[in-house]
Amino acid sequence: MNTVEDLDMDETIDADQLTTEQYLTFFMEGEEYGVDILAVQEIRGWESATPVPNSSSYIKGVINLRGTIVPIMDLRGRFDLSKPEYGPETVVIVLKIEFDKGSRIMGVIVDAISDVYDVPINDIKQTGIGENKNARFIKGLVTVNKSMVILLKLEQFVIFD
Amino acid sequence: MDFFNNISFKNKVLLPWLLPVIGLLYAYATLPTGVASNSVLVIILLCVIGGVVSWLIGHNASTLMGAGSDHTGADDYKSDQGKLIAIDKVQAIIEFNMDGTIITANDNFLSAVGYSLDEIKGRHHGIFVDSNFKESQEYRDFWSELNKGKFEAGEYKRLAKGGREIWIQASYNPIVNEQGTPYKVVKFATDVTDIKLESANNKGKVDAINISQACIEFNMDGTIITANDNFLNAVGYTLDEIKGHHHSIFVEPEYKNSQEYTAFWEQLNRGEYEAKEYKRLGKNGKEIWIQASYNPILDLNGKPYKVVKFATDITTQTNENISNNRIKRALDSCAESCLMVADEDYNLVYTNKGVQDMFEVAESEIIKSIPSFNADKVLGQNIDVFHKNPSHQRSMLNELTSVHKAQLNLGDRIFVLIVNPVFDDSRVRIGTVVEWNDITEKLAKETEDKRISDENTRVRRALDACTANTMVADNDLNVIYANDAVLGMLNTAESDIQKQLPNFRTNNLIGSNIDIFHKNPSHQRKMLAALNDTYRTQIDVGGRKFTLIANPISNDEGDRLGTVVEWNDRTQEVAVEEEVDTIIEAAGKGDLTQRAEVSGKTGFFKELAMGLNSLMSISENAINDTARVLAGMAQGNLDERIDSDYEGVFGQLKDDANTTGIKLTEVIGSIREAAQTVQTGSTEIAQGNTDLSQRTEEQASSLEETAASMEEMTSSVKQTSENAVHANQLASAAQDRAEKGGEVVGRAVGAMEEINSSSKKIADIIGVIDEIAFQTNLLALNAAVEAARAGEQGKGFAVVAGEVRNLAQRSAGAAKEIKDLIRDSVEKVDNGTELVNESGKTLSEIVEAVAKVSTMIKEISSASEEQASGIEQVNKAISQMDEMTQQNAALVEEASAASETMTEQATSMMNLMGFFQTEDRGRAVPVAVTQTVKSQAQARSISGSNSVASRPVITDSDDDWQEF
Repeated sequence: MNTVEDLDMDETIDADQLTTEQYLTFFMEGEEYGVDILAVQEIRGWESATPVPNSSSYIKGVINLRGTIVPIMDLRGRFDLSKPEYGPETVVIVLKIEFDKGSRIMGVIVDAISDVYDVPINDIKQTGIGENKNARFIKGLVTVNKSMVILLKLEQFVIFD
Repeated sequence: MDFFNNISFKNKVLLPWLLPVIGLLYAYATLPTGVASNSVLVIILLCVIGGVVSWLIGHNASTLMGAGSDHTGADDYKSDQGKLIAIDKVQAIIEFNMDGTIITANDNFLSAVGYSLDEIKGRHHGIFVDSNFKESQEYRDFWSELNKGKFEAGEYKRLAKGGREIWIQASYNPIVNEQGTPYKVVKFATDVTDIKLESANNKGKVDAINISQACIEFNMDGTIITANDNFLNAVGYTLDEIKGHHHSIFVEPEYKNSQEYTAFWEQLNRGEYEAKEYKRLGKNGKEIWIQASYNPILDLNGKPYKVVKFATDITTQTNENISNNRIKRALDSCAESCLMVADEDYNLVYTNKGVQDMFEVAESEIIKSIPSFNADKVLGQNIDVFHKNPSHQRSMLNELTSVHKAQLNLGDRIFVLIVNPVFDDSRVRIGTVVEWNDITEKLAKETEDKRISDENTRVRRALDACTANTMVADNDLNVIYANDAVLGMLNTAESDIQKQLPNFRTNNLIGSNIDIFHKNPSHQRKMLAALNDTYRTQIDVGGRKFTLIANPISNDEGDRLGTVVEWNDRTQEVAVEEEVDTIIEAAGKGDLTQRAEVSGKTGFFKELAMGLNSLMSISENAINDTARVLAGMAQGNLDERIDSDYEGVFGQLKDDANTTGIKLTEVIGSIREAAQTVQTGSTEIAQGNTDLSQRTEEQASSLEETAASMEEMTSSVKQTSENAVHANQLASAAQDRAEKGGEVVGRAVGAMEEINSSSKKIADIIGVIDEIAFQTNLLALNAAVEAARAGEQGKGFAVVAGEVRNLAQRSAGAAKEIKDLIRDSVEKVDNGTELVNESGKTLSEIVEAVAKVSTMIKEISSASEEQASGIEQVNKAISQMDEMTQQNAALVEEASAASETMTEQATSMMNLMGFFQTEDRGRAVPVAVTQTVKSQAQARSISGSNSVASRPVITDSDDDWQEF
């Protein structure tokens, strides 16, 4: 848990060369996104969820995960990407998101799981793309094996529009 | 005054005193106003008026009281008043002053006269009477009587409004005052106009009866009450003479005492009416006939109280009837003349016995014209039954004024009718008398007499005009008739006859005895007397020969009446007969030169001689001419002709002889021409035969060539047939193989499908592997996550997880590759399957095509077999043709020989025809020769040229050729 707190303070404290962070990456529309691996609770294959009435269009419903009710969010919907085709590679990443008022468990649906990378904190670049609707979700960008990975700011997910 | 009548008595008494009181009150009221001078005057005036009126009313009231003075008390007065009202309702009432002016009138009166009260009030009564009466003394007296207070009552004629006449039953009542002087007149009236009119009407009727009829009235016991003038005139009594006497004074004493008469009156007393004709006695026993009715008059209880008798004097008619009856009896007994009488309507009212008998006799004939006729029912029928056109007949009869005779044909009967109109004394037509006369038999007799007389005249005239010489003698043989012809003949022969009978004179013939012609009269007489049939004889008198034909004449009863003799002078006739005999005998022997002597002959005989001569000469000429022509023909000269004109049979003979010459010339010419043609033709035939022979040989050789080439063709066709069979075998082999190929393809397709299915299974397995790889990957990732959480302690585990993930990813990649390969191989297998299927289809098409080829080859094979047999038949035909051609060649030779013979015979015929000499013989022969030469030259030139050009000649001779 300390590590996690350490990681959260990366931006404000001085860079430690030895300090790396592990990120679980996944694909959506050919783009690779990454989330902090410590926030990941579980990775599951996609199964249908129980719909919840009067919820946002990108909330697909809830699942019972070993006694815990977990809301499932379609990340494509959340990012206003095109409608997803759920296939055999579609997976749900169950995240435990910590934010200032506490934590919340939530599953996000992504096209396919990719890999786990060790990312040196210093390599993380700020976006600088200005104010954008989706900019608030982006923590930073990192280049792994010559391909760009978008690192996501998880606490923003639980602020529902 | 009505006003007063209508108010109560109390009021009437009070009223007079009211007016002065009103006057005083008025005066009192006006005094203080200061118009004293006028007021005094008004007061005085009102008082005076009040006084007068009071007096008047008082007076009236007292009068009324006086009218009801028989009664005492108010009830009596009321009763009177009621009566007055009743009278007022029922009767017309009018009141006048004594001078006649009208005071008032009630409604009844006003409605009767049609005026309103205002119109008549104050007017004089004179407006109700006509102006004449108004001016009369009578009217003035009427009013002066009333003024004297005298009462008047009666029926009056009065004029209502507009001059309408009304009758009233009225009483004029002058009303007298206390002094006894009348002061007004009250008139009560009832309108009796209707009653008056009806009574006037009845009176008119009674008057009319009185004028026209005799009228007498009796009491029921038969005593006479009264009688009118007509009755008195009829019986000759005066009224005084009979009044009070019994009715029996008018009847005969026997009748008066009879039961019948008593019964007659009893009947009348019972109220029964009787009417008929009665015989009554007038004054002095004068007999009169009356048509009378006795009418009992009944009183109101229905009991007769008097008898009124109306009578008409019919004595005259009755007497006339008796007289008429007498005449009728007379007519009835009149049997000979047939009489019939019709009334003015032409109904038959009388037929006497004569006419009745006549009708019965003629009934069967009359029925033919009038089918409805019946002799028994003539009486009562209309005379129209005798006429087909009754209207015409009627108009004629209506205009009849005197005797008219007419003839009427009914059936075969003829009647003469004498029609007499019957008038009465005043020249009024009352009927018609018709007298019938059946003249049928009389007419028939007259017609027969006339016919016989006409017949006699006709025979006599015929004899006069007849050219036969006829003479008639009576029983004493005196000549009583000789016709013009016999007289003429005897006149001519008179001189000759006189030679033998010197006493004969033609002019004395009629009347003289027939004996003058005979030397022996007694024999002649005897013979003629015995004559009962035609007798012919010939006598010679003075060289003249006469033929006599005597016939006896008898009447119908067979009595001899005389003898008729027919003369005929035959002298000249006999001479001519002999001469004609001579000529005809010579002609019979062929001598036609004999002629009859013409001179000395006249009339018929001269004509006969000239005719005979002309006949002889014509016959001679005709026979000579004919002989000449026939002699020429016998010598071969056909140009002789008869040129003279003949008629009839001779004309026919001439025409036939000439025609024979002409026809023979024509026939011989035709035969000659035909012979020449035959000669030319036979020469041409001979030439044609030669050509034909040559061509036949050519034909035979070309037929041989044809036969050879046909054989070659046969062998080639046979080969074709064999080849076809071989090809057929090959085709079926190809078909078998193609079918086998098809089967192989099918198997290949099966194998391919199996490969496909196993590939799919592999793909499934790969899928499972892939799934496992995916799950492994997820697990590895989860492990990585767990390792990351474990921090430093999890680092080793993280490496393991990474390795696992690597393996998983590799196995997933390998699975993907295998999947791709499998997909590829499946695709290729699919392609292979498609191709194999296509090749299978193609193979089956090949099989079909091969089957078609095989059928075609079979057809070719059978066709070539047929060809082979056809060619064989052609071969046979050609060999037959060859045979025929050879036979033809032989025939052509024979024809050639025959045509030469024909040429020879034609030449000999030409020579024979040379015997006849005709006008054109000189030029006909050379022409024929040149024609022959020409045609031969032509034939030769044709045969020299090509065979196509010679074809027309061949077609010309075709018919002849076929006959061979």
